[in-house]
Amino acid sequence: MWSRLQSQLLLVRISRDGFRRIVIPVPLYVLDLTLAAFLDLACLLDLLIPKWIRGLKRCNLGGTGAGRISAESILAGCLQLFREMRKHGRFRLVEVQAAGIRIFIDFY
Amino acid sequence: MIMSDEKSRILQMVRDGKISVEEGVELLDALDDNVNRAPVPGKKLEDRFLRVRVDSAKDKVNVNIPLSLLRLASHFGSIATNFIPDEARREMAGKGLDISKIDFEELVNLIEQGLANGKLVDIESEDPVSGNTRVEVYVE
Repeated sequence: MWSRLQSQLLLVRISRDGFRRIVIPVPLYVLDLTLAAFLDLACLLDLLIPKWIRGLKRCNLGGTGAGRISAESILAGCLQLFREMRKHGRFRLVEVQAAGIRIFIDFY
Repeated sequence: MIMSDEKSRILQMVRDGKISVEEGVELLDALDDNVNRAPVPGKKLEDRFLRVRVDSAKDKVNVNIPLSLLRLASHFGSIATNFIPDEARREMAGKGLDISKIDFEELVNLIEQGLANGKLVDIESEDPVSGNTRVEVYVE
C-alpha cells in the first residue's frame, strides 16, 4: 500500500584536516524539475538545430560518436537514472577518504 | 518439487542409457549448483546494492550502487560506449577487446542470479610503500 519514501535531499560533505567542513545540500526535487525542464529544451534543440547537430556529427566530438546521440535521449537517460536513485530512500552513495580529504555523498 | 522432477528425469535418462553415469552425476551437480546460487528469498532486487570497497593504510573508498540502478544503466551501456574515442576503441580492438560486443544486460543478470551474496572481486595486495591494500566488490 505504502511505497518506499523517496530521497528528498542530496548532501555533499567535504572536509579537510584543519579546515572548516563544507556541506552542499541539493534539493532533489529541484534537480528533478531542472532536468525535466531541460528535457523539453533538448527536444526543441534536436528539432530546431539539425544543421548544428550535423556539424557535430562531422567533427565527431573529438573522435567519439557522441554527436550521433540526440541531446534528448542523453537527458532522458540521466533523468531515469536519477529517479531510480531517489527510489532508494536514505543511503550513502560515495565515501572517499584520501590525502586528508574526506568526501561523502549521501541521499536523504 | 520442480527440482526433484528434474533429478528424477536425469536418473531416468541414466537408467535408459541415454547418458552415462558420469554425465548424470555432472548434471546433478550442476542442478545443485543452481540451487545454491539462487538469490536469497525475501531480499528484493531493489534492496540490494553493489558495493565497492577499497581499503588501504592511507586511503579509503566506499561506493554503494543500487542494483536496480545498475540494471537500468545496463540499458544505456551501448549508448555510453559511443562516447569512447575512436583512438581508445582501436587500442582496445588491438588487444582483442571489442567493446560493442559486451552484453551489459547479461552481465547484470549474472550478478543478480549467480552472486546473490557472493563476492565479485576480492583482492589483497601488500606494497612496501603504500602498505596493505584491499579491494572488494560484492553484492549485498
